[in-house]
Amino acid sequence: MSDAAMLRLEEVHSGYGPLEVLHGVSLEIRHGEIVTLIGANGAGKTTTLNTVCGLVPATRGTILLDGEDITRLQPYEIVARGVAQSPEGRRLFPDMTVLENLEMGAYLRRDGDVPADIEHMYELFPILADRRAQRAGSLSGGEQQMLAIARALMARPRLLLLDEPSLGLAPLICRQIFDTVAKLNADEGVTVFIVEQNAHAALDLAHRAYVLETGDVLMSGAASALREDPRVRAAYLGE
Amino acid sequence: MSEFFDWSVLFNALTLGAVYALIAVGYTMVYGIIQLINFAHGEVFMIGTFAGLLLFAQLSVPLSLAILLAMLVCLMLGVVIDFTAYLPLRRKHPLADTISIAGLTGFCGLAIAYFLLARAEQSQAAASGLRIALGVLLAAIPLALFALAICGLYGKLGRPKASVTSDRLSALITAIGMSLSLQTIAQLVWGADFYVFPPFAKESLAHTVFESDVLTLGSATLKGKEFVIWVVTAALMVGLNGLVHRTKIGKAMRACAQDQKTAALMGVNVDYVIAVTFMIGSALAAIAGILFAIKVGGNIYFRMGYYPGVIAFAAAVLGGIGSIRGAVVGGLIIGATQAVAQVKWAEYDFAFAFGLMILVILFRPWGIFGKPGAARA
Ligand SMILES: Nc1ncnc2c1ncn2[C@@H]1O[C@H](COP(=O)(O)OP(=O)(O)OP(=O)(O)O)[C@@H](O)[C@H]1O
Ligand SMILES: [Mg+2]
Repeated sequence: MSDAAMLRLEEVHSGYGPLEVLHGVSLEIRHGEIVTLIGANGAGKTTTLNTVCGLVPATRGTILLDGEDITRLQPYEIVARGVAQSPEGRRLFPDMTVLENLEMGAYLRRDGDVPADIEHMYELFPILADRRAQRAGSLSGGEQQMLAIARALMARPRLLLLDEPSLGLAPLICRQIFDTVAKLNADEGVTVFIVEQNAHAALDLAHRAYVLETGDVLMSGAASALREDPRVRAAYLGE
Repeated sequence: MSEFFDWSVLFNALTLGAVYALIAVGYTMVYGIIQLINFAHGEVFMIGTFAGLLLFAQLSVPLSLAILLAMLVCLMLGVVIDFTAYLPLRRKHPLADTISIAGLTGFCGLAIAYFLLARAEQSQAAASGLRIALGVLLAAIPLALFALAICGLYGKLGRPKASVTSDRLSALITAIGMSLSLQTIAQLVWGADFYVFPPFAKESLAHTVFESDVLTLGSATLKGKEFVIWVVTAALMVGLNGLVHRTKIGKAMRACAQDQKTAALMGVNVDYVIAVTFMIGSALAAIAGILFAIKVGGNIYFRMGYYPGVIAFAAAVLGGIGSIRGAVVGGLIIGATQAVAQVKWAEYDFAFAFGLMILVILFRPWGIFGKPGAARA
C-alpha cells in the first residue's frame, strides 16, 4: 500500500440543476486501499460516485486521479483512465445476454485478453457461466449483482467503485461478494471505493472510512476506529 | 383468382414494403436511442434522392457510385441534423450551440441569396461567377458543420456544461422545424419543379439490370427495378442485423438504447453512438429514395419526403417503435395494405395505410414487437 493518493476530491460541490447535494466534499483514496463511504439515505453517496465518474458534473472543486485533473472530463474519458463503477441498482443491460454485458464492461479494452478475462469471471462467479446466453434481465437479484460487479471488473479497473453491492442480497451471497472484493484487492491490487448501507460489513472490509451527512464529510479515519466511535455506533451500526 | 389478387399486387406490396422498411429503420433506430421522432427523416430521403439525381444525371457519375455518394451525403446530413438541432436539446454546450446557430443562419441566408440571384439570372445562358461561388459556399457550410460536429463528438470543442432534460414537446417542435427548414432549402435550391430520373442508356449495365423482366407470372411481370429493391433491402437488413448484434458499435447502440448513463459508465461515447445511429438511418433513406425514384420514374421534388416519411413512420409504430425487426415487418404490412388498396381505391391508398396505423394506436400502441411500457410515442 503506497501513500500516494490515487483519487482526491477537493471541496467538490455538485448536484442536480438548482439542487446542490454535495457541499464541498474532500476525501482521498490511496493506491491499494479499500475505502468505504457510509451515510444515511439521501446523504449523497451515490452522487459522490457519479460525480467522480463524470455522470453528475461538479459545479465547484477539483477531482484528481493520480494527480491529473479529471473534474471536467466526460464519463468515457474517465473510464478510459481506469475507473469502473458497479452502479446502484445494478443497471445491467436487461435485453443483452450475460456474455454481452461482460463484453460491454470491456468496451474500451483493445488487448487480446478479454476472452480470458471472461473465463476468469466465470470462475469467480460460476453461476454466470451457466447463464452466459441468458438475458441479463431474467437473472435473479443476486445473479444480477454478481454480473454487475463482474462487468465492472471486465474493464480491468485500477479504481473500482461499488455502489451498494449487497443491496437486496441474501446474507450468504453478500458475504461471498465481500470476500471476492477483499480477494481482488489483496491479490490483484485493485483499489476499491465502496458505498454501503450495511455499515457493519463495509467497516469490516475497508481499511478506512468516511461518514457523509447531507452532503458534508462528517468524520473520517481508520475503519477499525470508526467502528468503535460512539456516534457511528449509534447512527449507523444501530447499537 | 379474386379481384384483389394477381401477382402484380404481391410484387407491388413487396416493393413498397421494402422501401418503407428502409425508411422506417431510420425512424425506429433514432427513437430507440433518444426517444425522438425525427420528423426531418423524410427530408433526408428527399435530399438523398436529389443528390443521387444530381450526381447521376448532371455529373454523369455511374449509378452505383452515385448511390454510394448520395448515401455518404446523407450520412453527413444526418450528423449535421443531430449536431445542430438535437444535440443542443440534450446538453448545454456553449461552443457547439453557437456554431449550430451561426451555421444554420448562414446557410439559410446563403440559400436565399442564391435563390434571388438565380431568379435574376434566369434569362442568362450560363450562371455567373458569383452564383457559382454562392453554390460552392452552400455546399461548404454543411461540410464544415459535419467536420465541426465530429470534432465536437470527440470533445474537441470544449466540454459540455451540463445535460439538459428538455421536454418532449420542444424536441418534437424542433424536429418539425428541421423538417420544414430542409424542405424550404430544397425548394430554394431546386425550385418547386418535378424532376425525373433520366432513362438509362440502352446497353448500359444499369439498363440491363433495371429494365429487364425477371419473372412473369400470369399477366404480371416482375421488373428488374423492383427485384433490385428487394435484393438490396434484404441484403442491407441482414447487414444491419449483423452490425447491431455482432459488432462493437452495434452493441454500444443497443446498450445506449437500454440505458445511456450506464453505457457511459462502460466507456461508451454516447453522443458519438447517437451520431452513428443518425448516419446509418440517413444512408438507408438515401438509397431508398434513389431506388424508389428509379422505380416510379419521377416525382422528385422538394416535398417528396412527406408521404413516404409519414407512412414509414406509421410502419415503425406498427412494428413497435424502437424495434428494427418491427420496422421491417411494419413496412411490409403497410406496403401490402397500400398495394391491395391500390387495386380498387387507388386514390385512397394512403387512407388505408393511416387507418391501419390508427387501429394499431388504439388497440396495440406498443406495436407488434414493442413492449407495452415503452409505448410513449
Ligand atoms: N437524478 C436526480 N435528480 C434530482 N435529485 C436527485 C437525483 N438523484 C439524487 N437526487 C437527490 O440527491 C440527494 C442525494 O441522493 P443520493 O442518491 O446521492 O443519496 P445516497 O446517499 O446514495 O442515498 P441512498 O442511501 O438512499 O442510496 C437526495 O436528496 C436525492 O433526492
Ligand atoms: Mg445511493
